[in-house]
Formats: sequence, structure tokens, C-alpha cells
Amino acid sequence: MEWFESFGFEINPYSKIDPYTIPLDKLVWNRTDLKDVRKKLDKFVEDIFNGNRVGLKIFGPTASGKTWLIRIIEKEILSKKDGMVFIYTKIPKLDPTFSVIYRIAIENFIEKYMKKLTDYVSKQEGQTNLDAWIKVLVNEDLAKCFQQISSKSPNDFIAKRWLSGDKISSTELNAIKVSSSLDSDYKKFEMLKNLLKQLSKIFPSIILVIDELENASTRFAGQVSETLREILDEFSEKFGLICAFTAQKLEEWYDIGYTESLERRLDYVMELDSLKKDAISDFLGMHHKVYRKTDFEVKNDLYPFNEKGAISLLEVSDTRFHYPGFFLPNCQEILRLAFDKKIKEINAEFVKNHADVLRFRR
Amino acid sequence: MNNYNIMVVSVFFDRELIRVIDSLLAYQRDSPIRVRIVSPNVTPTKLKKYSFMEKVNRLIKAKNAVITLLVNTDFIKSTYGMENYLQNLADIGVKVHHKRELHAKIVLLETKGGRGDKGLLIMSANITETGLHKQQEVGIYFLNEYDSIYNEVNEYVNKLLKYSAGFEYGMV
Repeated sequence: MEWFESFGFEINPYSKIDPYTIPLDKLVWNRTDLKDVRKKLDKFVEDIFNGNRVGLKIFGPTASGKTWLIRIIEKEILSKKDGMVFIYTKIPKLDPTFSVIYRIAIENFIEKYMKKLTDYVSKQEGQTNLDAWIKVLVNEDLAKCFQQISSKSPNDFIAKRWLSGDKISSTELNAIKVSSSLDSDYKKFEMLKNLLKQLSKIFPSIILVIDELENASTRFAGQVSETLREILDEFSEKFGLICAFTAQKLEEWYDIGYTESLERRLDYVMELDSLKKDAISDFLGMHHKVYRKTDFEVKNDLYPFNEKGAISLLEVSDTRFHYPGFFLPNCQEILRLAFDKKIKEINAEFVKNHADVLRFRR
Repeated sequence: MNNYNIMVVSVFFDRELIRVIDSLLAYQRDSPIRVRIVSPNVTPTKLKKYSFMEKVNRLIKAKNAVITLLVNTDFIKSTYGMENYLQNLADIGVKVHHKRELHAKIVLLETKGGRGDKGLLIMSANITETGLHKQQEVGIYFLNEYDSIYNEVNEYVNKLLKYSAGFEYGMV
């Protein structure tokens, strides 16, 4: 038996995984302390349902749960209305260029929505030949590629590469019957804008998420600002933009190099504050609940912690670690130790006596 | 402001400024930290034991600090080697901005968590070899004192950054 199973969890509730891969059923709003964020989240979701154009800025320190919050928004939107499109991209630290932002967005869309788009074309036009795709997407090159990808034609991998912005040879261009490569940032930008525009005519709303904005150089941040501003200005409705970045304070937006013109277009700002003592029980209890086996009965979702034990775990770490991304790994360390020592309840004394096993402490 | 914070208001002259800047960039009490440096001209210069670049690099690597540097656009063009130096600073993670007609010289330091310190240095010197090692200069330093002054200067730096451009080699 694994250590977490002995506490009734079906999988390790604290394992560090890519937040984008957490299944939606394991995501739950557990920050009862963030009342202002909750209010804005509800308003943002309402704006999306009403078909408005809306922008949102999310910021907080490392491990504060920015990507988690984005996924919560996704879950809330998808659970209430079908057909919404969430496209994720980010500015990677190692290669902060527009080509990479574009590629991640396109690959994310193809992976998640290709089938839905094909179903729409089929339903709308009664068939999925090239003419049907052109009628739906308008842009011929885009239609040719999507048609080849959806029909799994022998050249579908070339079509995918073209669409992702790879440089491809003239022989390959001929094979997919497309005139030229998307070889410049401008062409990629136009293609992304075009795709988003067409998708907004098909789906109830499109939400573009751009994460890790802090990785841009100051110069590139200025360019990204202009690109996102232009994309926002293309829409008067049915479009949401979520920008997320790591920062201690909102004003670091300018330190990184983003512009006021983009900021003005972002209607909501959500700050992820640190975990507080009086909300830690709610946070941990709600987190445990979604990972606990349904047939494992507990009196309190905090189990095996008691309330003072959970608070103590927060207190023994430095304030800079009072964020979910640090607190949860600390839970794992203390629970593993409790399992080894056959302890059934983790109280304040146990935590204080074994604070040295924690990864994030004073 | 927490009452157990150290509070300092001091005036420094000439070479004493090196010690103040050195201690600001060696800040060890809390993290994470943020440093905003406004210096129209910036050239390679030594502080106490390490160079300015080394100190900044250590702060970024060891404390995961956000360091922002705002310089004067015209100096990038007119000061020999400055563009290369700024590129080197950008490569180690400094957020480099530039703006025309900039003449203010300010260093702001802020920590979050723990004591939450705020340090402010307003001075006549640029972060250059001449400014710190040759000329007669003066500066006034506040640590956890006069919060309202810190906030006003910080707001002013926000404005400067809003209307600045991001640095890129060869683009000025």
C-alpha cells in the first residue's frame, strides 16, 4: 500500500504535476480567503457567457496558483456552457519568441478542438470536403490544412507543421497545395488573428490564455503588448483574453516591459495572495476531498491533519512559502513521515517536532 | 511599517555612496526582493568587493530578485561600450528600459514577506566609474522611514517606466 492510500487518497494529492494536465474533476475552488478574486471571477465568467469581449490579468508570486486559477476559470466556464474554446499558450523561459507563442497556441487548439471543428463543418455543410472547409474558415490555406488534418490525409503531418509555423520546403508546400510558408512573425500573427476571428463565428466564445508573461525581455514584452492589444481590438464580442504573470506587485507589469495600452484593455485584475491561518483548514480540506476515495469515511476532510496541525504547518515555514505550491509539498513530507511512524493524526506538536523534514521551512 | 524594523535616514557624500549601493545590492534580510535602479548613464564599475554586475547577478541568482534598470536613451548611443554592458545586464536577467531626457538617479529596494523593508536612495551620481569613484556627489538614504516619500518616488518611477521602451541591442 502506498503511503497516501493509507489516508484514503486514490492518488497522491500533493504530487507536483503540470497544472495544465490536472483533470477538471480534481480542480476545486479552495481559496475561501480570496473573496475579491472570487467576485471578479464570477463577473468575468458572466461576461464570457454574455458574449462580451473581456480581458483579465492574473498575477502573484511563484507557486501562488496562477495556472490553477486559470484552470478553475476554464472549469467554471465549461461546466456551465458547452462549446466554449480555451486556447492556452505561454512565453517559455528558454525561447521567448512569438514563433513559440504561436506554435503552442496552434498545437493546443488542434489537440483539443480538431474534432469539434470537423463536426461543425460536417453538420453545417453536410460534408467535410475542401469546399465545406473554405465556406467555414474563409481563408483557403487555413481550410486546406485543416481539411487534410481532419481527414488524416497522407500529408496531414506536413499540414500540421505548416500551420504550426515550421519552415517547410517547396515540395512539401506543393504536397499540401499551399502557396507559402508562415515564415515571418507577421504572417503568424495574421494567421492567429484570422483563426480566432473565424472560430468566434463558430463557437459561443473564444478564450485565449497567455501564461508566464514574466519571461519576456523588456523589448519583447512591448511587442507582445502590441500584438495582444491588436487581437483584442479585432473583437467587439465573444472573446476573452487572460494574461498571467509572476510578480509580487501589480506595478511589475511595467518593470517587465508591458504597456499601458494593453493594461487599459484588461478589465479585471486578480491578485493571488498568500494562504492565511484562518483559511488553511478550508483550503486543505477542500483539496483533500477531491482526492479522497468515496468509500473512505472521514469525520473531517482535513484528515489526517487536525486544524492546529494544518495551521502549524503554515507557521513553521517562512512567509515567502505561504503559497499553495510550497504548502502542498510540505504536506507531503509530513504525511510521509506520519505514515512511516504510523501516526494517525497530525497535530501541531508533531509538525513542530519534525519541521526539519520539510522542504520549505524557515 | 513594522515597529521592529531598522529605521535609517542618512546623508552620504562622494565615495560613501559606494558603500550604500553595495549594501542595498547585498540585501540579505528578506526575500523575495525587488530593486529598481534609475541611472541615466551606466558603465562597468566596482563597488566594494565585487563589480556592480556581479552584485546584481548574485541578487538575481541567490534571491530570485527582480531588478529593473532605467537609463537615458541618448547615453546608450553616446557612451562607448554602454550598449554592450546593458546587453550583458539583460542577459543575466536585469529588466533594462530606456527613456529620453532622463536625469533622475534613484535606487528603490523592497522586500516582501518577513519584515517588508523599503529602502530608497536618491543621489546625484550615476552608476558609473566616474560617478561613484571620482566626482563629488551626494545622496540621501531612507530605510523604512517616510513611507509616503518612498511611495511617491515609487509612483514616479512607475510613470517613468510606463513611458520608457524596452532595451534591445542595436535598436536604439
